Amino acid sequence: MDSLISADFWQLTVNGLVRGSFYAALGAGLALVLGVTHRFHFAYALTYTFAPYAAFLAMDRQGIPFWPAALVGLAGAVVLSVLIELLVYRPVAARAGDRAMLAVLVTSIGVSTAGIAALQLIAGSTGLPFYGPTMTIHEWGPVQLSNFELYEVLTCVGLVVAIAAFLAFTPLGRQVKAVRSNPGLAGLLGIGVTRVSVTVFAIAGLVSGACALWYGLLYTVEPVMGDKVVIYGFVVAFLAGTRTSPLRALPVGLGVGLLEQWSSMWVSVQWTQTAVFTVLVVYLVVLSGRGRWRRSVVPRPAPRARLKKA
Amino acid sequence: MKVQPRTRRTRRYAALAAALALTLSVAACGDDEPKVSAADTQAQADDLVSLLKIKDGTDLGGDLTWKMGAALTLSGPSAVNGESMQNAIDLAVDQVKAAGGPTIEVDTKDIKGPDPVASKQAAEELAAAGAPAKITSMGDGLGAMLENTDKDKILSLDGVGGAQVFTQGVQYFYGTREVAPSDAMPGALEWLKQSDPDAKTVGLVGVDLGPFNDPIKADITSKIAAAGLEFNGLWETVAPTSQDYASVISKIKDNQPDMLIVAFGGAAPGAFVAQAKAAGLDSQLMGIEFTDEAVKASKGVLDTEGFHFAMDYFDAEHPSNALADLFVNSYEKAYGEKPDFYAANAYEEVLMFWDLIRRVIADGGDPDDSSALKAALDANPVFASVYGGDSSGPGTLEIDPKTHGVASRNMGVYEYKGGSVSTLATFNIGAADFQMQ
Amino acid sequence: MWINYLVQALLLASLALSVNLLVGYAGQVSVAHAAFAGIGGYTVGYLTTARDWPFVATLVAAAVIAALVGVVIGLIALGLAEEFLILMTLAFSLAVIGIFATFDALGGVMGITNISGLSILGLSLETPRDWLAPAAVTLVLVFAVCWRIGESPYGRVLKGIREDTEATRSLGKNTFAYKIAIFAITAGMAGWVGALYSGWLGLATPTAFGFQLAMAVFAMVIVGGSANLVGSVVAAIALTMIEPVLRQVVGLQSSEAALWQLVIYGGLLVLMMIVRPQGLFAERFRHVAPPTGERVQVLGERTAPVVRDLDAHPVVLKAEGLGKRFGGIVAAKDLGLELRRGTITALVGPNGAGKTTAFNLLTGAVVPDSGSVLLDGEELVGRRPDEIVRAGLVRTYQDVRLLSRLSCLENVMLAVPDQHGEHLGRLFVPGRAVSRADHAVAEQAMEWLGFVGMADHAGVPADALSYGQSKLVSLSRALATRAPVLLLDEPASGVDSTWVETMLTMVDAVRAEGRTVCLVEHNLDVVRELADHTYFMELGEITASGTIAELTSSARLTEAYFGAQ
Repeated sequence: MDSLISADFWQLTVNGLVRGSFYAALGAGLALVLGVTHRFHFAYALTYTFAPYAAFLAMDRQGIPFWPAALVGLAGAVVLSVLIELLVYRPVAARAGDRAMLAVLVTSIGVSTAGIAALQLIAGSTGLPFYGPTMTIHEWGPVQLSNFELYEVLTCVGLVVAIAAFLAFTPLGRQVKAVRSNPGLAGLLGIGVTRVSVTVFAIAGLVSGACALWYGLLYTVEPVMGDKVVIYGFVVAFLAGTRTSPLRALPVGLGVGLLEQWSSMWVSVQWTQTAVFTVLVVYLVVLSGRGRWRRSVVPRPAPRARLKKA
Repeated sequence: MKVQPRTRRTRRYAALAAALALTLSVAACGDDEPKVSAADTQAQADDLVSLLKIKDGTDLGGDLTWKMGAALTLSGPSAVNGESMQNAIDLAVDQVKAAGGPTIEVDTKDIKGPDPVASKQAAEELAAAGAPAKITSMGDGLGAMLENTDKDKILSLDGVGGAQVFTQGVQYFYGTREVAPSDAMPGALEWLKQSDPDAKTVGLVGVDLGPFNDPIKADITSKIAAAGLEFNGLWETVAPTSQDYASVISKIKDNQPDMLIVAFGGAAPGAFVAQAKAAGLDSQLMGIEFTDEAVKASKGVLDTEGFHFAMDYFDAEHPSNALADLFVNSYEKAYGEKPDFYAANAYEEVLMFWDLIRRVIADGGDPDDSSALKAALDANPVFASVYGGDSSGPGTLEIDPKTHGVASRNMGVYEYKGGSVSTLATFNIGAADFQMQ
Repeated sequence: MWINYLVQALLLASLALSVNLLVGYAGQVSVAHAAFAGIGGYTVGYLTTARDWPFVATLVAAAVIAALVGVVIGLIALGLAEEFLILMTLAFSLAVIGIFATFDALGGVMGITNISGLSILGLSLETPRDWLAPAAVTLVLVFAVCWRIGESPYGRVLKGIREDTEATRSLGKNTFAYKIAIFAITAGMAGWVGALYSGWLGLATPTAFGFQLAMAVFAMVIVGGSANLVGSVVAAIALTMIEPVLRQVVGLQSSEAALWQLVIYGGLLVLMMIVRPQGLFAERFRHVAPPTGERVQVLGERTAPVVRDLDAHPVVLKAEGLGKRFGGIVAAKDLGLELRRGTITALVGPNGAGKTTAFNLLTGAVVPDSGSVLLDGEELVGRRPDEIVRAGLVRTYQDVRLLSRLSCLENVMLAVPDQHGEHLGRLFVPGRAVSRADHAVAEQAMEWLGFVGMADHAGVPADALSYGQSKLVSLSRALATRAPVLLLDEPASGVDSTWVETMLTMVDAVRAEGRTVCLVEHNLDVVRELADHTYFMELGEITASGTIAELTSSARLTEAYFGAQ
C-alpha cells in the first residue's frame, strides 16, 4: 500500500478538502434551484463568471477598492441570477407547461452562451488580472495552505450551513421547503411561489458569486471559468439529492474533491477529471443495480400532484 | 396561455425584429482597420521598399490582385493572438499596396480556439475560395487543417506554432518561428550552466500533446544530456483547459529540479508561476513563451518575482533592426499599442509572401499558382525578418527545407520583471552564437 | 462553402433525429448522444487510419459498437430516476471522451486528424460535394427509421413509457425491453452519423464530440419540437446555418464579430423558447375520424343488486399468505383472498389499511416477501408486472394515470395486446401489414371506448378530460387488455354523483361480460350496490369477510372503519 500512496498524500488531501468544500457549496446552491424550481440552470456558469468580472470592472473602471468591488460583484451575481429567473426562465416555463424542464434547459444554454460572450465584449476575451489583497502561506509540517484557501473553505462551508439553517429555521426557508416538497399544495396554502423562486435564485447567485470570487483570487478569471464548475455543480447536486438537506452536499463535495486530488497519485494529473467521471459512472451503475432492486420492493412514492383535477 | 392577447404576440415579434435589427447593426461594428493616414502609409511604404533593398525596375506586382487566406483564432481563449495577427496583416497589406506591390485580398477565417470543426470548415472554405496561400496558426489548427493544406495545395506559413512534430511531412506547411521548446532548449541550458554553475538537474511541466509527448520528451532529454545536465525524471503534462495546478505542483515539490521548464503558452505560464511561487517551489523556472496575458494571469507575481523565458521573443521596446523599427512604429501609430510576437510574425509572413510573388513574377510564373510559390520558397528559403540583424537593414529568417521549420532564428533567454523585459543571453538554433548579455 | 455547411447540417439533423426518438418519443432524457457519435467517429478514425479498413465496413462497425454500448447504457438507465439518467449520461459522455484522449493509439488529446482518402462503393469522398450524397442518404434513412418507429404501435409504447412507465407496464408492455432497444437503436444511429461526421471532417478529436456538440444537438431537438421529426430537421438546418449566415450578414471577420455571433445565437435561442417553448412544430396526434354509424349501446338497465351464490362461481384468482415489510413497517401480513369468476369482490378498510398495497402485491408492482398468487392455477409471484397482465390480471389506478399527451383512443389502443406493429422487425417489412393491423387495433379500441360511452372523445388528448371521463377511459383501457380479472382501485372516488351512477352501471356491465372484478372502494354505497363478496382489511391484514351487510353489522368493524376516518 505504501507504494500506492505518495509522499504528497497529505498535501493532496488538503487540496482535496479545499476543492471539495468549493464543489459542495456550488452543488448545494444548484441543488436548491433544481429541487425547488426544477430548472436545469446551466446559466449558473454565467452568474459564476459574472461576479469576478463585475468586481474587476468596478475596480478597473471605477477605481473602487478590492473588497467593496468584490461586494459589487457578489451583488451583481445575485441580481443577475434573479433577473434570469424572472425575465427568462419564468416566461419560458409558464408557456411551456409540462415541458418546462427541457425548454428551460435549452434556454439556459442560450442565456449562458450569450451572456458570457457579452462579458467578453465588455471586458475582453482574455483572462483578467483579478487580484488585490496579499496572499500569505501557512505551513503545517508537509502541508501548505494559503489564507485565501482557508477563507474559501470557511466561506463555502459557511454558505452550506447557512442555507441549511435558513431552510430549517426561518419562515421564508420553511416556505421554500414547502414548495420543494409540493408546489401545488404550497400554492394552495398561499405561499408565494414567485417569492420562493426569487429567493432560491438569489441564494444560487450568492453561492456562485462567492465561490467564483475566491476561485478568481486563487486561480484565473477567464471567460471559460464556469464551464467545468457547472458540471461539477450538477454532479454534486444530484448525488447529494436535490430535495434533501443541503448539508448532504458537504460529504459529497468533499468526496469528489478528494477523489480528484488523490487520483493524481495513480494517474497523470490531466486524467484526474476523467477519473472522477469514470468513478461517477461506476457509482451510478451500482446505484442503478441497487435502484432496480429497491424499486421492486418499494412502492411508488406519493403520486404526482393532481390537484387541478381533484 | 390559451388566449394569447394580440398585443403580447405583437410585442414578441417586435422583440424578434429588434434582434434582427441588432444583427444588422453589428455589421457596422467589429471594423478594426488601421487608423493611419494615406500619407503616413505612403511614407512607411517608401521606407519599406528601401529597407528591403528591392532592386530598381523589379516588377512589384502592382497590377496584381492576390488572394491570401488567414486562419486565425479570433474567438476562444486565444482570441488575442488572432486579433494581433489580424492587425499586423492589415497593416502589412496596406503597406505592400502603397509600396507598389499587389492588392492582397485577405480572406480571414476564425478557427476558434482552435476548434477542430471550425478549423476544418476554414480549410474547406479557403480551398473553395481558391486562395493559393494562407497565414495560419496553432500548428494549422492543432493538426485539423493539415490534411487539407496539402490536398488543396495552400502554401501555409505558421508563425504561432512553428513546425511542430505533428506538422512534419506536410509539403505545403512551413513554420516561420522556432519550435518551442525544442529549438530554444540548447541555448536555455547553456544559459543555465553559465549563470548557475551549480545547477545540475532539469525537469519539465507542460501541456499534453498526446502521442507526440514521447518524441518531444526524447528530444528534450537528449538535449539535456548533450548539455551535460541531468534530466531528473519530472515530466508532468496537464490538459490545457485548467489553470488550477495544485496537484501538479505538489508532484513537482516531491522532485524539484534545479531548472523547471514551464512549457505552457498564452496566459497559463502566469497562472502556473503565481501558484508555484505561492507553494514555495524554488526551482529556476524557465518559460517557453511570454505574453501580456501571462502577466495578467499572474496577479502581479511575474512583476514582483520575475519570469525567465527562452524563445524567439519579439522585443518591441528595443527593435533589433531597421525593419523591426519600421514595423513597431507603424503598428503603434495604427493601433496605439506595441506589437507582440504574434503580430511581428504575421507581419513578416505577409512580406515573405510579397517576396515570393516578386520572385515568381521575375521567373515568368503565375503568383496564383501555389506550387510556383512553394518552388520559389524552396529554391532560396531566406527572407527579411524583424528579428536579429542591425539598424542598417532587416534581419534574416531562414527556413529549413527539410523540416519546414526555421534553419536560423534569433532567440534568447529573457527576464520579465517590473513591467519590462531584459535580455540575459542571445543565441541561435542549437545554441549557436551563444552570448551572455 | 455553403455545401460544406449543408453537409454539416444534414449530419447534425440526422443526429438530432436519433436524439428526438430517444428524448422526444421515449422520454429518456439522455445527453450521451455526442459520446455515441464520438464512439462512431473514433471507430472510423482508428480503423481507417491504423487498420486500413474500407470506409463502409467501419461505418457498420461504428454503428454496431455504438449500439452495443447503447445496450449497456440502456441497462443502467433502467434502474435510474430521470435526473440520475441525465447525470449518468453526462458523466458517461465526459468519461468516454476523456478515456479516448488517454490512448496514444487514438491520438491522445489531439485526436485522430488524418482521416482521408475515404470512398463508399468506389465513389471517392474528397470534396464537400462528394459528401453531400452520403449525408443526404443518411438523413433520409435515419428519418425513415425514426418515423417508422416513432409513428407506429411501437412508438405508441415509447410515448407511453415517456408519459408513465409504470402505467404502460401495467397494460402489459415489457417496458424494459423497449427501453433497452430504443437506447441501442438510437445509439447505433448516432454511431453511424458520428462515423460519417468524422469521415467528412477528416478527424476524430475529443473536442469535436464534446459537451458543445451534445448541447447544440439537444437545442436542435427542443427548438424543433420534441416528438416531431420534421421539426428536428428544420431546427438542425436553421441552427447550423445561423453561424455562416451571421458571418455573411455581419460581414467582417474579427474577434468582436465572433462574439456578437455568440450573443445573437444565444439570444435567438432564448427568444425562440419564449415565443414557442413547445418548439417550432408540435407533437403529432393521431387523427381520429368521428365514429360512424349509430352508437354501440352495450349497456342495459342496471338491475337491483343481487348477491350471487359464490359457490356457483369457480375461483379464478387465489392469493395465499402474502407478506411484505418495508423496513420495520408491516405493509401486508398473511394476506389471502379469492376472486371468483363473474363476480365482484370488494376490498374495504380504513385509510392506510394496505388495500392499494394488496393490489401492488397481486400485480407484481411490489414483489411480496412471501406467499403465492395463483391465477387459474398459474403462479404469478416472481413474474414481471407486464407478464402478469398478459397472463390475465390487469389493474387501474386510484389516480387514474392516463397518458396525458396521448389521445383517448391512443390510450386505449396502447392496451390492446399482441399488436403486429409492436415488433421491431415487422416494422421494416415492406407492405401495409402494420398499418392494416393498426387499423384493426383502432377499431377494437374504439369499441372499448364505445363500451364506456367515450367514443366521441376518441381524438381528445387525455389531459383535456374531466376527472370522471378519465376514469371511464382508464376502465376501457383496462378492458382493452382483454384480461379476465380486473382490479379496480377506487373507480368511483373523487367523481361527482352523476358519474358515480355511470361508473356503477359500467362495472356491472363488466361483470355481465363474464369478467372477474375486484375493487377497492371507500364509498360503502358503491360496495353495497355492486359487491358479491367483501373483504375487510386492517393494518395489512384481512380481518373479516362476507357480504357488506354482514360486515357493517359488526360494531367492531364499523368502529375500526369509521373510527380511523
